Amino acid sequence: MALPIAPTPVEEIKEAPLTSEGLRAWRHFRRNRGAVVALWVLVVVILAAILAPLLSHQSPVAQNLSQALQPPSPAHLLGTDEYGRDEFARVLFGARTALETGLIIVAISLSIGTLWGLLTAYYGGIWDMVLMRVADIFMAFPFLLLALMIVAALGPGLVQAEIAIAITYLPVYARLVRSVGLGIKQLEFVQAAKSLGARDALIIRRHFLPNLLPTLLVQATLNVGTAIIDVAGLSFLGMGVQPPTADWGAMLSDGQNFILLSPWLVLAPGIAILIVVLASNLVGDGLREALDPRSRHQA
Amino acid sequence: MLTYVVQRLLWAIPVLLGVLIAVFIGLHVVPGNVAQSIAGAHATAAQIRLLTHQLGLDKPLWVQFWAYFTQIVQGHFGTSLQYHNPVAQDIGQAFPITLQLTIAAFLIASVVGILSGVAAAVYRNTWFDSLIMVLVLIGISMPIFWTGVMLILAFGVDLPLFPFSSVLTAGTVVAHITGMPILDAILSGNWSAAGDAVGHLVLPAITLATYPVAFITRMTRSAMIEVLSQDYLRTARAKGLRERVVVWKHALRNASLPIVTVLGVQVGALLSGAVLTETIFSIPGIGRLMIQAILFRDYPVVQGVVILAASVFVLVNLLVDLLYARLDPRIHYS
Repeated sequence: MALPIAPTPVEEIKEAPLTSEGLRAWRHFRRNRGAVVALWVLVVVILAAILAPLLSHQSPVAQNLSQALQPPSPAHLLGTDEYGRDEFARVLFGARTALETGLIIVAISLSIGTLWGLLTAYYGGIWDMVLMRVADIFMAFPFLLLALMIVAALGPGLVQAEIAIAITYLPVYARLVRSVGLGIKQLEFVQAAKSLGARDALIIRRHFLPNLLPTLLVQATLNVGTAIIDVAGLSFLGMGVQPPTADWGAMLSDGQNFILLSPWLVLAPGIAILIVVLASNLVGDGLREALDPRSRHQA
Repeated sequence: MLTYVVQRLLWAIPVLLGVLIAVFIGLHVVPGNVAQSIAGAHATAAQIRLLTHQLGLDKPLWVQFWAYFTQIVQGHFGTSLQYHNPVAQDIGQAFPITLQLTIAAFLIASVVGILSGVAAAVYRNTWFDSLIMVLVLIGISMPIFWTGVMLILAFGVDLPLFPFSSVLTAGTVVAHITGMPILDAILSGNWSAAGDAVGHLVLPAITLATYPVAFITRMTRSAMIEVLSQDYLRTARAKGLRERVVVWKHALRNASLPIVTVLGVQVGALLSGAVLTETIFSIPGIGRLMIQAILFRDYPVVQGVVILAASVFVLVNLLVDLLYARLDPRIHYS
């Protein structure tokens, strides 16, 4: 039996081109000025979120009603809200909420969705039929209504909103992984590894996942932005982040009530969302162009 | 073709059945004690027991599902816990208003999206194309609720051109015919009310259309770029056809398949976006009905709205598939 040595040559053959392809993609990504600037913007936002307590000496939740609805000034760079809370501090700490929720949602939907897609692509048959029909049913719902139904069942809150949005993204990853996975399954080195008796887990880990990685990386990067918008949307509706936590969606919702008196309350969180989502979209598009040569021709 | 239509119609049935099961599981099984949720945190054990019995939650799950299923297929969505009206009645009043908003947004998105996408593809790699692509990127990245608030600020407050609350000015009365204020005003010959209703629709429709416009523009541009490089278009130009005919007749027709698919998908985005748009502009459609129902834990209303929206989405996708088959002769109907 040649089982123990079977996967080794296959890995060696596969790893060399992957590395050079990765380098080529990185070089291509670096040539895309928009994507590189967007990446730096994201790095700055991440640093601002981490260093929020150092960048603002004001508390994002401490109320001071005597300072309510103050316009922007040196003391309060972006003014204050209806409870006298410093808007700049809330925007900074809101970045933490936004990035955390974006990453958590993508992590949940990416891991479960990938597993879902792998089961359908790799095993096919009954797995494929049942799981893809479940995906069809998920996708039959307009996504926000599905998310709202889940929030209605679980109750409003940040964790519930994260779960709800993550669930709505699952079939997207499942379908994506399935479509790419079906192609990988037909590749000769996968067929060879199978015929040599390599275990399923090994084939999936060594051959499927590395080949799925570029597609998943692009989708995940794009989804961080949409997840931030979607959770902000739920918070805007009062179904996501609950007071007094600083959250851009909730801040927009509250600010809308004072739009005539204090328009800066809707400007600051809105611009913050736009910058982060725009940056993650640009990075995602840059990655797609770098990793998928076909998309370069359409750009 | 008929076989294909029947096959596709039959396929919609299990999906709709799956939707019903998913809603049942979502709202009846997962949350645990539904009666407790409805009764609130301060309800006594006796009150919860009584409510559990009244709602039939003490019966076996399959009995509950069968009762729920038979009611829904007969069009009975139960009674609103908040207003004590039949849910179908509440939805019947709210849905035409959402329909009017989504139709307006869909028309704006389709026309603007296709025109700008075609123009960007034709003038590829020019400043115009770059401008369109920057606007597309902003449109895709801008949260709909912020777009709405900004439009209110710009065209409702600073430059008060349009009203930004509800569907008609307070005191304006329109005969109820279809439930869609603009159509009802036109049908009853009340032109001032029709103008008022159109004015109320402008900002919400633009808000709701922003994301689909950006998405459709991007897809149209990409599909057109691919088609414009094909040999048969070179032949069309070589035989002396005018550029307008080449682009709008030959190229766009062949690029229409991905565009139609995107238009179908955008209906889901419009239904989702309607919830946010209606909240921003205080429009009494199904989105706002659903938000109020969630806040009041009015599960029958939540259930009714979700089932209706999913059914509309499934039917639209069905229509898109049929249109797709009609547009693409390569699709076999059997």
